Amino acid sequence: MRGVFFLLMTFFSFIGFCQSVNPFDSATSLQQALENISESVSADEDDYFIQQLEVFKKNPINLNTATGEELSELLLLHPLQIENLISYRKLFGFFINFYELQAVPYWDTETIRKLKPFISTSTPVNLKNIFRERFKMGEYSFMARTNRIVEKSKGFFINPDSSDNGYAGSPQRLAIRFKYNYKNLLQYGIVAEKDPGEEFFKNSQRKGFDFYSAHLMVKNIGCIKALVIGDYSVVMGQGLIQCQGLAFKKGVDLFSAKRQSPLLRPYNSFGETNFHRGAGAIIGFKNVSFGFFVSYRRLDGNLIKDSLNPESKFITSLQTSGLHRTDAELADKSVVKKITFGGNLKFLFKKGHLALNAIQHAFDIPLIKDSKPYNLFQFSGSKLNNYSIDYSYTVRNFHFFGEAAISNYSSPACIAGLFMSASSNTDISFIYRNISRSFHSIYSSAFTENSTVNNEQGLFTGISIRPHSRWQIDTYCDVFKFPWLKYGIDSKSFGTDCLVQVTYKPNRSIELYSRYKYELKVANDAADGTFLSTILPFLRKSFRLNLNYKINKSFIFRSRVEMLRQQSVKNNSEEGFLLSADLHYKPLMKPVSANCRLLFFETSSYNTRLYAYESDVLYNYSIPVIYGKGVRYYLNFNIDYGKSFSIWLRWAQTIFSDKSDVGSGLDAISGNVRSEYKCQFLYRF
Amino acid sequence: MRTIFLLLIFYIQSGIFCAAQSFRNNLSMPSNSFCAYSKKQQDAFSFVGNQASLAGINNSGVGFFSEQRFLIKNYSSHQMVFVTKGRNINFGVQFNYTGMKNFNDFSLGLAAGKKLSDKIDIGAQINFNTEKAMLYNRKINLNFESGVLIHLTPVLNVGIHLYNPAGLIIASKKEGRVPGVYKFGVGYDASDDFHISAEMLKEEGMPVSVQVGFQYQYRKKFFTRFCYINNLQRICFVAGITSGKIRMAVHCSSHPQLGITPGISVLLNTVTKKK
Repeated sequence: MRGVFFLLMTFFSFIGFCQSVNPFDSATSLQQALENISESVSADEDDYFIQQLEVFKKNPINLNTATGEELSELLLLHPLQIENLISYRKLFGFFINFYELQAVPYWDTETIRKLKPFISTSTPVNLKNIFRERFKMGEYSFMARTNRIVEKSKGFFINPDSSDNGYAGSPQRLAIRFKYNYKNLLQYGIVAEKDPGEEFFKNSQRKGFDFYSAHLMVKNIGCIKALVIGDYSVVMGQGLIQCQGLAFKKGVDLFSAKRQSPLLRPYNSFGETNFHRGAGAIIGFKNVSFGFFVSYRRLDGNLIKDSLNPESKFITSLQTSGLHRTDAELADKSVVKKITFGGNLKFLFKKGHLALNAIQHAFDIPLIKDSKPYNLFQFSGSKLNNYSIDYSYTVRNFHFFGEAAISNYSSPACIAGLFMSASSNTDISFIYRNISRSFHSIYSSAFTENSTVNNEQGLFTGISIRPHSRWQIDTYCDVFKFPWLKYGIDSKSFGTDCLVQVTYKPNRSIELYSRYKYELKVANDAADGTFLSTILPFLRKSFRLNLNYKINKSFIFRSRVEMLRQQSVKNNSEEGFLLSADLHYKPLMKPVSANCRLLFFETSSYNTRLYAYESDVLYNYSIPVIYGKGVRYYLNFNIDYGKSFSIWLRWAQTIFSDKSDVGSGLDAISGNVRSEYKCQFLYRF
Repeated sequence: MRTIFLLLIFYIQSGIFCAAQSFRNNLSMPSNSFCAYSKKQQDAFSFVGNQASLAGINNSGVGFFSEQRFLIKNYSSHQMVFVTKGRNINFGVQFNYTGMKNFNDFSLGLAAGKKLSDKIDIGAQINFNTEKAMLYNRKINLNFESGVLIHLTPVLNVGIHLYNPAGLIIASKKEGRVPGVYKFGVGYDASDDFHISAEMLKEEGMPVSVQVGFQYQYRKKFFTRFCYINNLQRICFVAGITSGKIRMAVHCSSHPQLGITPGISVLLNTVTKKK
């Protein structure tokens, strides 16, 4: 016993004072943006943004040397703020102190407070000296994470060799990442991941993990602004033809709607789909840059072979789950070869830019979708070309941006936006999009209501007003229509999405906001069994009250109550309710932190499901879909051992009071409880 | 002040599409939890709505309340509460009886409240419930409830109250299941004499119910209280008089279909804390 006690004392005595928490945990607007993404698409597991903020925390961006592109990587500044900072710096010289930032137009104290951990105002240093240090002065990090659902699902009880296709592997999920980074100027690393149910070092997975990824990226070597080899992601323009990674859509933060990421980024996340594999480079001169990339990957797809002619085969869809647990899923693995070429020519002007983008994807097996009416204009074939022009321009307090694109030489799409600072306390945003029903692109993520970028016209208008230092009113209205059928909607359709949010901050410790959301959409009449169903409008109204309260230097209390009601012409109204309370403990200069949540929910059905951001281990967040009736809680714990070693533990459990089975298909769990644990450690050296 | 008005507007707006009958609420005295969100107008009944309010009591006291639901004698409800100040923790006891000899509900609750800091109070209560119906077995169960009150500013308070969360029953027969009730409320002391509050209440299996209202005191001798509950558009009115350590009040609640529920309450403050 004394030995254990001694070990514990030794452990705690060497504990350091650095803490790492997700940047999303403290930013309610980012949490809401993530929740909005989850409502329309399943969030891809790309933690690049969180990793970048961690890097910036250790190597703050120097405001005296930062380019507009570097500042936009923070995702915390809007274009007018960036433009004005650079203009101010040109006029008045280097910043000496943070306080100077208050004099920059459109920079308020709230922005400066949010940015402070990630920026510096130090004197610029000689880059040539730094280059020699890139290989020895950087930081290595090794991260390992494991998690599992405690209750085994049906798939684990079925013999994998049987025709029922059981899971062959263990229920644990394993993920590791080894990385070297020197101030974002040089980074390389490898990533490996195994999903629950996938085998590990045996049979179908003799190489160990199901997914491996590696990358090397160098920046700023003479005229080569960036060079990436291995896995990387690409963002072009406003995401009409290419946008891999985290991209926000509608939200109270009006400016987050604009895509403003660099063209090439190294990819070292655990998602198995949304990236390229090959090489790319950006060559830049004073006002012109040229970027190009090439990629070769084998993708998962639903392969169909003609029984009469085995030579004839095609795929009906590309699989994006990254799961290879059963024989059926393994049969779809890496069946399609894809080669991608792309390029970007960018001209920088004093107040904006103009860029030409091109990308071509070629498959060795043609993609032919099911012959459903809503698929009539979907992409078919083995070659897809996309070209676009994107621009941005700032004049006084107006910022214009947009992109016009074309796919396969015929189908057009465009997005045009305007951000306007009407006065010191009012921001206005307009975003118009018109995307042809036959426009198609892969790995795209534009500002749309649809989860895919096609078949949509719409206008988004947002206003943000700060009538008083304590008050903020954010509101938006998005009116859209879909000129052709969609999955689940057998007719042309339309919709409206409006939101009003009032935020009250009486002091630095309290943030209280009320949100009212109104959505009018249409869906097929479930009772109509005809080939083309009639459509029915439905109305969804939701109200949320959210409190963030910093009790003292160590404790933060958060609570949310949310209710939702959906009404349709035919059916009775359905309702959803959620009440949660969180407590975060993060003492200053102490190596431990913890947080927990207790959440009660009750929804009439899946239609009235709710979403709530959850704190998680570092580099991770979760936004579970909440429906049914019951209670959910989680506990997170973090301890840092010195500056180099950190451990995170998480336990989450949902107890349903209206179900005897949780989930469906092979993922069904017998019983009304679903529990999950997660363990992560990080070693930096 | 503007904060609360705005919140009230939102609550009312969101409550327009919600209507329900809530569990074990006294019809003519919805203000049980009403004054829990006030630092200045708390009384011995407040802890029934949120046990955390026990932490803020300055007096020991005892209260009686009785109502005749919709003027039906067999549907009467009676309540007695007792609160006392402890050294670090304050305690409360609650008795409820509803019904008649052959069909009745009885519950006994033991509550405690503690001040965690100047800003946070917490409280909890354990309840012993019985339900008797002639020719059937008596249903017995034990459940608990808890609450937290946060004093955001000296005049603005919010609270969460969980009654039998997730239907967790410590000991019960299957048919004696009591639904969970979740509440979230905000209170604002506009002055020493005027308090307004709003509360959202969700009972398992029922739509959300919203209650808004105010209490006004005149020279510490007279008080009046008005509440609107979107649950079938119920309106409640209370008027009372205070004389020394005794407070007496008449209560009235109206239901659009079932009519009026009259009630009466007496509150006796036994010990006054000397500052």
